[in-house]
Amino acid sequence: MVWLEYEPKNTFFHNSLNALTKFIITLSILLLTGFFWDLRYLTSIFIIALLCLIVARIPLYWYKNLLIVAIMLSPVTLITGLWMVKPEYFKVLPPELVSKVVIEIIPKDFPVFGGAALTYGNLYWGVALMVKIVTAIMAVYLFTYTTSLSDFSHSLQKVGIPSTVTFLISCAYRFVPILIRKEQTVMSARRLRGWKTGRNPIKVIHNLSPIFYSLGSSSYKLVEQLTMALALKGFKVGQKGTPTKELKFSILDYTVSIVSIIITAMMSYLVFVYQIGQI
Amino acid sequence: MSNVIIECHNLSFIDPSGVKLINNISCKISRGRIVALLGRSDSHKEILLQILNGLIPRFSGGILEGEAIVDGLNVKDHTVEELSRIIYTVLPDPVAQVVETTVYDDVALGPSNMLLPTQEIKKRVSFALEATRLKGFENRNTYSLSGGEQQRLAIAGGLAMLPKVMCMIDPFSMLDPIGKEELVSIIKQLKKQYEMTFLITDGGKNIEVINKLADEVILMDKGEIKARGPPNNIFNAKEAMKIIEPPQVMALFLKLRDSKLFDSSIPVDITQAERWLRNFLKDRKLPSYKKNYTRKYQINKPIIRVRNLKHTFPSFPPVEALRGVSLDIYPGEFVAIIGPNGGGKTTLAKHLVGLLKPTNSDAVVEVAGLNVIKTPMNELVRHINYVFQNPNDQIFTETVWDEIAFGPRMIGLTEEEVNKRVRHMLKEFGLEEQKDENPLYLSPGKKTLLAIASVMSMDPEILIVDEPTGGLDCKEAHDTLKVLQKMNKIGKTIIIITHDMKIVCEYCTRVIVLLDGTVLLQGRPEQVFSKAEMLKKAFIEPPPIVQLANKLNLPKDIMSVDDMYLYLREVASWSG
Repeated sequence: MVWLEYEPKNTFFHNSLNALTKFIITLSILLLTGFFWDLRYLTSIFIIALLCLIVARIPLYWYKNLLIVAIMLSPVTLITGLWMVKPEYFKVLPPELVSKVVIEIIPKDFPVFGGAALTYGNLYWGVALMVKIVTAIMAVYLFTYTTSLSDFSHSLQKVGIPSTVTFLISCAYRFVPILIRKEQTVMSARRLRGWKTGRNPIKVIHNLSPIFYSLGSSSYKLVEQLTMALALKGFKVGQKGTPTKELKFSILDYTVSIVSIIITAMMSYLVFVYQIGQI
Repeated sequence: MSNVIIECHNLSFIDPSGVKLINNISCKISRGRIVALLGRSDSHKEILLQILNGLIPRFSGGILEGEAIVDGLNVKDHTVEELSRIIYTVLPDPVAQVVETTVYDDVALGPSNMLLPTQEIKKRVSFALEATRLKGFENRNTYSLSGGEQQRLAIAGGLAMLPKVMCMIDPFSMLDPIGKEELVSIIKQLKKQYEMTFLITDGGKNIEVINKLADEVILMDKGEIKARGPPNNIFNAKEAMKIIEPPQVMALFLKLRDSKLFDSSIPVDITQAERWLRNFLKDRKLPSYKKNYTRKYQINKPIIRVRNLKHTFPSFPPVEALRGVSLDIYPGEFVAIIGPNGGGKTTLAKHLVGLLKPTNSDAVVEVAGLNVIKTPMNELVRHINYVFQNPNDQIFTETVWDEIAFGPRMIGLTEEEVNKRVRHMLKEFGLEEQKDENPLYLSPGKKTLLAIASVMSMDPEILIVDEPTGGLDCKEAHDTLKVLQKMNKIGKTIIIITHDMKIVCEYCTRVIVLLDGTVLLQGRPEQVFSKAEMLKKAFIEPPPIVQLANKLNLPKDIMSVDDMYLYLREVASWSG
């Protein structure tokens, strides 16, 4: 099954927008998600990204994978929030709210280490970080699912990005799904040999160890294969290929790109000058 | 312009471990020739081709001695990218050659790198897709293609670049019989139209195709050229028979000549053979011929029961891979699933082992009395298992021993039982000497055997092997099939997915033909192969000896060279 990879479809994002426009939309979502910490703003961007994914008809299992990532991330973001974020960090939210204790983990008078507690501030920061990561992944989903590799690299070349940079981006863009696919096949082969991770954490690590070995060797092999395949097709780093199709930048592309850039620029100004969307 | 396009002078290649893989080869190949390089896996014929396009030693390391000149360029002085404008190579693993995400983009990549104008790229892509029967696939995701379709895509990618020399490593291995015929006509057309030179390697499994196609054959063994000449001369030579099997028709007549039933020049195709045999059979009494099947399978209760199985892949447009397949397979059968590339063979197999689920709710998939859709895979694998098309996909441990031990350990056997099973498998599959070796460095034949052994060590009742002979030479293919036959004789149900019709006729007790996701035909090989017109719909052609028997109205049980030879001897003895 395709994951993190382009799939030809008949949707607005697939057929009506140039790869560059989609890149600008994605970049806008990523930047705004990076700038904001206020959950109201982040939720708005999350909803916009979700609507885009629905319009692009992203398969259901992509959402399933996203949910798995979110579930796996939640303890990490909360723990990070707990240890890294102190009440002084918050500039906008009232100090009495951010320092209000939700759960006391270690009593205040605990010898040597002192106390530790999960505050509303920690919780808020942890949830916001998770929403940021999930929204960023959604932006990447939107781009990878709707944009073919050749459209993307030719669009980048058209706007003057050096072909060496284009080559590196293209390789990464292609390499990840190939590796995922390879690992899916290898995992299927392993499941057919009775392989399962189990629930015991030590056993899980033990059972997963062959995967890391094969992941390492297949990554190396894949890089070599990809380089060989490109060389056989006459690809030379530093040389621009001719576009394989006419790349049109329509009025719709100009409109969407300009609107995205203006919104991003305006929001960035508000964030940095007026602390909008900050906590 | 010189008529010679490739020249090798005292060419040798020593790999990084110090082994001499190519040994002092000197040869010249003329422009516009179709040259077949034949030999076993250890002949290193593929290495010679990869030296010519510059991949070796640039990507492999090692030392290249002597000279290789392609269209006036010394390969040592040019990069692979520079050489790719002159010489293109279709690698044996098509997946390794796919770069782009859509079929159109992948074929267009070469012409784009050649800096051709966009309109010219479009024309070339259209030509290449038409030539490889991939027209209409332009927007398909390259990874949604079947193995055979991917192989055609790899060929299309090279055709679009219109190189002067096209090297193809085992190009016929994953193609259906009609796909092979089509590739033959494409190659001939390109040779005529563009004076393109072709260098094609084969392990001997597609000898009939090579016989029709090649202008000359270079026979290689252990990195050396052993013989060179027109196909008919080479296939007749005793030296050649030590390395490869001759085409079926020639093999039959060589046997007849040895037993003094034939004393003329060896026929090279079915038409010539038919002419001689018609004269031979004229006015003779024709006995009946019944093949003696070594194993009778139980026909009462099926071990696999499939009803109305449908599967649609959610691509754009959605691909209906299976459209209501219903079939039964009985314990102890040796079944071949055949059909054109993309006909649904692998998809069906993956449903049988639970790797895919039907997309319709009323489908029935039962294996050994278990409902596959509801049974957890770790329970299912004790009854049925599957060997992948590419053995590299299922090999992941560091030694042959560990690879075979992995499955039994996972299903919870004691270490004593695991060791017992591993030792048994190593013996059965002839892998004892390699037990401590890293599986990645085994020969293709040994790798396939290891892939099967690592699954058989779990002792399933049913084994599905996807393309058991893909990428193997003739000897390795027969060694693999003989092992499967042995397993079948001890009661295992064996299902193979293959494009090799000679193997189907020789080893299988039943054939299921899949076309467009439905069962077109099923029955004993002789029943199925007697319906040549229906088989054509599924792009399948019976092996030459069966075609010959059908043309002469001989008994349908004649399925192999040995069958035909025994029958003709009987005819001769009956007539005095």
